[in-house]
Amino acid sequence: MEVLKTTELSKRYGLVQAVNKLSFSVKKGEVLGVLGPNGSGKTTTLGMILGIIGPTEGNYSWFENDHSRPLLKVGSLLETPNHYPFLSGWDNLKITAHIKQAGLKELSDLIEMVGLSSRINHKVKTYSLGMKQRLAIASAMIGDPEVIIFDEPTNGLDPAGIAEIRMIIQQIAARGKTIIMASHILVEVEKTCTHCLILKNGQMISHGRVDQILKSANTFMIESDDRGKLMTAITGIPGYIDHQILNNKLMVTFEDSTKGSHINHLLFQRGVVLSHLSREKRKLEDAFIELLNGT
Amino acid sequence: MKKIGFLLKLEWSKYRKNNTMMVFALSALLLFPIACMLLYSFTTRVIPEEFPLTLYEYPNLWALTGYISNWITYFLVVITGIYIITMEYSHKTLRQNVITGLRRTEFLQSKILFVLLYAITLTMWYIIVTLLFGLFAGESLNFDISSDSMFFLSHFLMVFAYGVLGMFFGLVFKSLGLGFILFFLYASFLEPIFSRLVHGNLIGGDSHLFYPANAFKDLMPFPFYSGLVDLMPPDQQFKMALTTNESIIASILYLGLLILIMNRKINRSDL
Repeated sequence: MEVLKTTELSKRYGLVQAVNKLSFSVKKGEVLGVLGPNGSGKTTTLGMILGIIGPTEGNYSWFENDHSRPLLKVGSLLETPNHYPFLSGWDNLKITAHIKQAGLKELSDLIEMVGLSSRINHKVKTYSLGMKQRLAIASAMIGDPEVIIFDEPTNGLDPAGIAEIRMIIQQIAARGKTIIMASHILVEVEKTCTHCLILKNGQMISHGRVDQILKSANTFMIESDDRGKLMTAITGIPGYIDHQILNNKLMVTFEDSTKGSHINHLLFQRGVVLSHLSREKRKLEDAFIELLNGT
Repeated sequence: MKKIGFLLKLEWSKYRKNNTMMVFALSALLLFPIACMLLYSFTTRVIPEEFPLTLYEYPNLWALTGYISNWITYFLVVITGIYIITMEYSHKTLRQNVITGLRRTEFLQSKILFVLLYAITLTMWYIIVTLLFGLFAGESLNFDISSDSMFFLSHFLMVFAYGVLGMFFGLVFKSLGLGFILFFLYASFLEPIFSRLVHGNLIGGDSHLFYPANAFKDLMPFPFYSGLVDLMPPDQQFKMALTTNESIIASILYLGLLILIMNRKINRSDL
């Protein structure tokens, strides 16, 4: 089931095209990471699908138009957490529960999950940013939403706060929820997300499974006692793209179909005996930068 | 009814522990009887006892206390109206309410319902205080509910209109301070100057009295306008305030217009 589908979603602010004809879909159970540099249109896109920013063109639908009030099934934390500062954390959660038409029974569990039990009756204006963020996550989870949206959930937090929030998100993902998460922290996305949407200047430059995006380059670390002979031979291997020296080893990129055993066999035929051959796992950060630079 | 209860409960949960709202509400409630008592104390001191005062007899008393209430609510209800909107903008909770699942129109409805309930409460308080004041000052409860009920309707409309006007300024300017200053400048200077000097000179007649802030104020006008006019020579007499019916009709029309504009704005703007 498609929980979200956007069709040519666009937003223009005067001369600035913040989001341009964005079409993608999210299926139930997916954990989608929305990546992109500052100003790429991540928050605007999330704002549009959450109904606080009106698209100038295009449209979107939640749950295949199956719910009359779809946002009651969506929990979200967009940019900074927004609460009534003069009310306690508990009172703020009650307001969210009231709007979501959810009971109060689950609140205690959620408060415990985000570790706010000892401060929940204190006014929100006395909370640190990390505590407000945790309260916002608990608030997003009220009503057992089918989809949860996080926009830069670790923004402005110290390293301990980032680790805490990351752990909470991983706990939520482990419950099988559909999550849409915009983040700058690529390690976070790589560890948590099943799918990835990369934006640049308001346009989609990549969308797919994280493992597919990471697989699109085929890189090996190779070394031989005879470096000169190796460098000459390697360029003649079918599927060779380029190479560079990294940590005193040769890092060589081949086309997708090239296998390690095949490289070893061909180099041996050319008189090169390898002392090291390993496949380099590509990081999302590398893929992200390559994709951004390639457009 | 279920939806009205849902929206009012939502509003109540936002304000019940809000000190600013409590100060506004308590001030509106307490200043009214205090102002009535101060006026009574002043008039009984400066006016000789043998001079018959009909001021504290019905229906004059409704008009007098209504006018006092007009001054108090003019400031306190307008600022409350501005506050209940700008508070949501400054804390970004309007945006959060919508993200959470509240429809924008429901957000506006909840505020209007709150102002409506506030107007009913302050009108009941106006009736209670006036009756007690009547007992105290006039030693009488002798009034005609059928004819005097127009005072209740006018008072209710006046408070409701001030609240909605405040909401409108809050929605347009999104800042409590700026909204209140601009409201004050508009209602106290810009509209009176424009309506009397520009409109009055260009068009003439009584149409300059039909501007919104004046129409709302004239729901509970200065009680002795007609007496003052009667003192003038017939050829120099002019209309100083709208009649009750005129101000009620004009206020209802303006309220409808303000609510329509607010609904359009809240539904079309990015949050």
